[in-house]
Amino acid sequence: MSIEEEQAAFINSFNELDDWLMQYELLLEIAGTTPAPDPSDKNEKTKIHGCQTNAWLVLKTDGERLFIAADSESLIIRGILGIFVMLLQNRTLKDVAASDLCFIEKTALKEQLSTDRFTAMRQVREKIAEYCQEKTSGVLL
Amino acid sequence: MSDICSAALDFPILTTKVYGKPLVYFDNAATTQVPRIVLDTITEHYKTQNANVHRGTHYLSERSTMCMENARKTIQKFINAESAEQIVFTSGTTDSLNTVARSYLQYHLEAGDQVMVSEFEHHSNFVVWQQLCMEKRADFIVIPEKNGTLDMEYFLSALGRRTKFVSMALVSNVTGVRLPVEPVIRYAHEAGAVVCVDGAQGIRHGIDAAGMGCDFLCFSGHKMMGSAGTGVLYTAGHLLDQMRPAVFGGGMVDIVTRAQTTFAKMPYRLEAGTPNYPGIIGLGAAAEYLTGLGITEIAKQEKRITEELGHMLDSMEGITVLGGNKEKHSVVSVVIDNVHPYDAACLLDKYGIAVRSGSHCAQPIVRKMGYESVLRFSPAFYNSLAEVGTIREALSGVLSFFGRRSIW
Repeated sequence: MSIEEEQAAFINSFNELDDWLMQYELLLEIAGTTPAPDPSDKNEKTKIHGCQTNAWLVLKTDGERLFIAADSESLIIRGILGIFVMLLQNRTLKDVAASDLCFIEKTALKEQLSTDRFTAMRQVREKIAEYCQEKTSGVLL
Repeated sequence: MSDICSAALDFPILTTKVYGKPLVYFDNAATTQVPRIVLDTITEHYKTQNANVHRGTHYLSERSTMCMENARKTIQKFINAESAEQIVFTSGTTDSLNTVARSYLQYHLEAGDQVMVSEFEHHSNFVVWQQLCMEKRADFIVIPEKNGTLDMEYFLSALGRRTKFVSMALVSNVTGVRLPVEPVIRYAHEAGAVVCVDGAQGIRHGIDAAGMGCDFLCFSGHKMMGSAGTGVLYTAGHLLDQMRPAVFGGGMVDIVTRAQTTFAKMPYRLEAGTPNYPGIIGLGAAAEYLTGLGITEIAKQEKRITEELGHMLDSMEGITVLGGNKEKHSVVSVVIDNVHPYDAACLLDKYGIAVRSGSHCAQPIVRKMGYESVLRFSPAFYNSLAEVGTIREALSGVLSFFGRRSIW
């Protein structure tokens, strides 16, 4: 399944849960399966600013594929970061760089996030895209 | 006008449904709601009296100016200032504090002097003095918290000839504890220092500026049922002549020539440009509304609700109330075992309950207590004991929801 197909499936299943409690249940389930970064990787460089909670996004690659680890003191934020992981883990850098991630805007998650946190999550998306573009262009060079 | 028990009826927003549930608004330490009389006053002003103030001779401008100056007199009475010229309108507490820094202290502070604040301060009453001290090479002294209040022993030992200025909150916006500002003012004055009080969190319980004896008092309209973007700086009479303009523009000058400018008298000297006169007029209406309800009644009602809230939170397993057993003034902050404050606030929101999580712009005291983020409940007089019960039920839901998780 492509990133877009998997994202569409997630958007559908999330939106089908029209009860907020169930949506939170799902987010927390995702939070529970999200790989946490090595403590040594949790630093100022990997910190996500603007969440009003400590949160980290660690991006790594073997040269071809993307490996993400994410963590937050807030389970809800960790769950949202976990969706990025779920959709992009082990994908090729090229596929990730070309993907159009819109699951926040197309689900009730947008309402869950304050403007600040929405901006922070948008930065996560941009950070991933930039990382993949940089690594891809590095390979091409 | 309603009495204190039916005051909620004066606030149209309180009938709002949030996610299908009645709004339970416990975020008053951030912003209080606005009663109909204030909304109507602002709307009516725009409908019938709107014109720029001070600089016009036409009917509407005169009316608008009169309304704004009446608001100044209302605020003067509200805080028991000796004269209206002591009341400068600002955009809020932060603006008021920065005005004190730029209009007064920067002309009096020298290298080696001391400025003191408490560890409880909101960043707006902390960073401004810290930065000014850095600029002037003065010492920035932070009086620590001890047993939930100010460490008076530390304060007295640090206080001395070099102490030029002390700035302190009346009530902590994190723990709700009232700081001993009266003795601080007394001792600081004895040492020859000037004292500024951040009254943002205590203002709707009444502050007697003259009686308290502070040199500056700063507060915001949006913490006392006025509109956001309004605030007040009170200056003691003996300092009025020392206040120098920090912002330049129209309305604050006397004579302008190519060579020089002379400035208007207080308070206009510090009110450059077009003021937020509709908001200020609304602030006057808010002060009248609070006075009409009764400041003592407001304080009593908020004490009743805060005590009930504190007992309820304290009785719940897994919840720790911060600030020890000191009396809380309309603010109760907690931490919950294994539940991040942000997550708790998100879930409470779904129950229609508006509370705030984070450091509340007061990182030093939150960090001192060992946290980075706390969950804050801040009632006002229009809240009810029944709403405290609603919060209890919702919190049980939050505890049970996160209690099932084992990934922490």
